[in-house]
This record gives sequence, C-alpha cells and structure tokens, in this order.
Amino acid sequence: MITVDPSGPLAPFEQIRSQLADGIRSGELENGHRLPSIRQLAGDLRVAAGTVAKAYALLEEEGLVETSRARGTRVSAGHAHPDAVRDAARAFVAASAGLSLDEALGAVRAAWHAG
Amino acid sequence: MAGFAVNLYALGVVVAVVIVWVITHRRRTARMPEHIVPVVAASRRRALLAIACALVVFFAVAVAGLSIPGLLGWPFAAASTVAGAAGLLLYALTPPRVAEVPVGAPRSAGVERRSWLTVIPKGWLHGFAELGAVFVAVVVFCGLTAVADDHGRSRAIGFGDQGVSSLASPYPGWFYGIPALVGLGVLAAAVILALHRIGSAAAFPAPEDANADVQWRQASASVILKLAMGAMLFTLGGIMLMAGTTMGNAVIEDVTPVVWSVISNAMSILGVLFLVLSLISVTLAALTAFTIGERLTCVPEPVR
Repeated sequence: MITVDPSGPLAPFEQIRSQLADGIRSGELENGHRLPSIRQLAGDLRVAAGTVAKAYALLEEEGLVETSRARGTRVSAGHAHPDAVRDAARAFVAASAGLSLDEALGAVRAAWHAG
Repeated sequence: MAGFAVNLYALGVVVAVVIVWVITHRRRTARMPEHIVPVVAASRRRALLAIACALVVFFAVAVAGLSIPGLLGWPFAAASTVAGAAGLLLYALTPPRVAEVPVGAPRSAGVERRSWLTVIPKGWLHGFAELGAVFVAVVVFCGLTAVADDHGRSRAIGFGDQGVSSLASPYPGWFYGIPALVGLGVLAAAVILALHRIGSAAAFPAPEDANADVQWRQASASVILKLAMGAMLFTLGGIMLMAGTTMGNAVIEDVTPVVWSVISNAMSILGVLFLVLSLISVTLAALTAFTIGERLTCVPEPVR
C-alpha cells in the first residue's frame, strides 16, 4: 500500500518513487512482482498519469524495476536488503517504540555518521 | 410451443423479480461509510441496468423471432447470448463512479496489478469455461448429427435402414448452431469488457477501505458472470431440449440403436434443467446486484 499526501513536502512522484523503492529494498515487493499499470495507479491515487510514469521511469533508472510492453513493470532481482539488515531494521523499530519516524531515522543517521 | 415457453419464462422472470424486490426491501437497513455510499449505489444501478437491458433485448429478439415465421426460430439461437452481451456492453460503456477525495487529503493505493482476471471470484472462471466447453461440444455434436431438410438447411435429423427411414425437424444443426456459436463469442467478448471495466475502476482512496474495494469488485463481477451464465444456459438448454425432442421423434423403435433414445432423453432432461438454471442464474444476478455493498457495512447503527 502506498500513500500520496498532496500537502506533503515531497512532490507526489517522489512520494510514489520512494515508497516503491522502500518496498523493493525491504523485500516487501519480491523479485518479479508486477506493479500496477501507470493508468491504474494514477487512477487509484487521483494523480496524473505522468506523475506515476515519472516515478516508474526513475525506478527504472535506478535499476529497481524493468519495464517491457509484454510483461509490464516488474521488480528487478537483486535489490532487496540482506536478511541481516531487514532483521536489524525490525529489531530497531521494535526498540524505537514511542519515537516518531523522523526521530528514529535521526538516531540511525547519528549512529551512521559516528560509525 | 415456443410462444408458450417464452410466456412461461417471462412469468418466471416476473416472479423472480418480485421475490428479489421483497427480499432486498426487507434488508435495506444496514449502513455503510458515507464516502462509499454513492459509489456502491452507482454500482448497483449499473448492474441492474445491465440486467434490465439484457431482459429487454431478449424479449425484443424473442418477439421478432416469433412474429417472423420465415426465420424458422433462428433468432432464438442467439437471443439470450446477444441479449446478455448487450446488457454487459451497456455495463462496460457506462463509466463507474469514483469515490471523491477532498482536495489535499492523502490517498492510498495497493501495489497489486488488477485486471479482468483478478476481479473474478474464486472458482467462477473454471465454471464459466467448463460451461462454455459444454456449449460448444453440444452445438458441434448437434451440427455433426444433423442432416439437411427439404430446402438444404442443416436443421433435421434422420434415422433408418434399407427398409424404413424417418426425418424430424427442427433439429439444432448448423442452421441454429452457427448463430449460437457466434452469440457465445460475442457474449464472451462482452464479459471480458465488462470485467475489464470493473478491474480498471479507481479504488477507494483510504487504506481501511481496501477490503470493501475488493468486495464491491467481486460482487459486481459476480453479477456479470451470473448474467452471462444465465444467457449461456438459456441457449444451451433450448438447444438441448430441441435436440432431445426432435431426436426422440425421429427415433424408429427396433431399428434405431437404443443409445439414440438414451441421448434423446438425456438431452431433453438436461435441456429443461438448464432452462430452469438459467432463470435461477439471472435471478441470482439480480439479487446480487441489489445487494452490492451490503457486506461492506462497517458503520454500526446509531444507538437510540
């Protein structure tokens, strides 16, 4: 499930791109998973088709998805984080109860720079 | 005979509509989330319009078939399938209502691809395909066993040996079989178009409505398939009843192998059964159409 907030700080195409990229890297969207068509996702999110097309094009540039006329847009293989990273992320989320997402990410950033 | 059958069928439809009306009128008490109400109401309207359109076209073609004897009942071979296709095409051409989202409000969407195949309730695709296969098999069997009548049309069946022979008509040979197959093809295309329309409609925008979204799509797809099933069953039942009756008339006792009598009886019985099932299927389509969204109710009744 992805959500677009038109009043959010990020452009809608970036919100779509980042949530799909997170889903692919977290393994939630598995290798070969067929994404909705541009028209379907644009209709569901009530955004212009060009917005979704731009998000898909960026994902394709990053190599996270592959698009072909016959097979649609599918998640490319080999982009999910290693299991250890995913397990650590889940443990971190469990330990961050009571923090907002920004606060939790701030803790990760601090640890990242310190390490 | 055909006129009597149509009258009987019409009477059955009227009784079915009354039953549907009574049942649904008593159940209209549940409430559903406000923002879903217009979408569900529009879905019901579209589904009911499709059924009404199919019934009107069916009776129009049936009346045409009855009032022009020169056609030899030919329109009946495709009446129900073409009528069903007309209803489904109307459904496919009517734009679905989209749930409105306040300007600036967040909106969500699933990441599963929808298509005409994904909206079909479990088990229905197999059932539909199997019935279609039986339809084609029966038409081909009748076509292959038919012989030409006095005017060279494939609408008779004959038995006999050196000493005695018999010929009976009307039999659903290629004269009726070809239009029946064309009607089946048109109906199948209309089903795919209508299901595609359901699959491509925009989803409800809130994550908590994801389940409701799946349910209205499946309920609408179920109306489409029940209507199409009813259309197929009517033509199939008519062909089998006609084949069984005519085959029975042509069979010569002690000359024709007994297997033909068995086939004749089986076809007659199955024909009647399929005609009854077609009425049930269309009634169920109407019942489902009237009740689209009833399972979506998640807002409790206000406490008084």
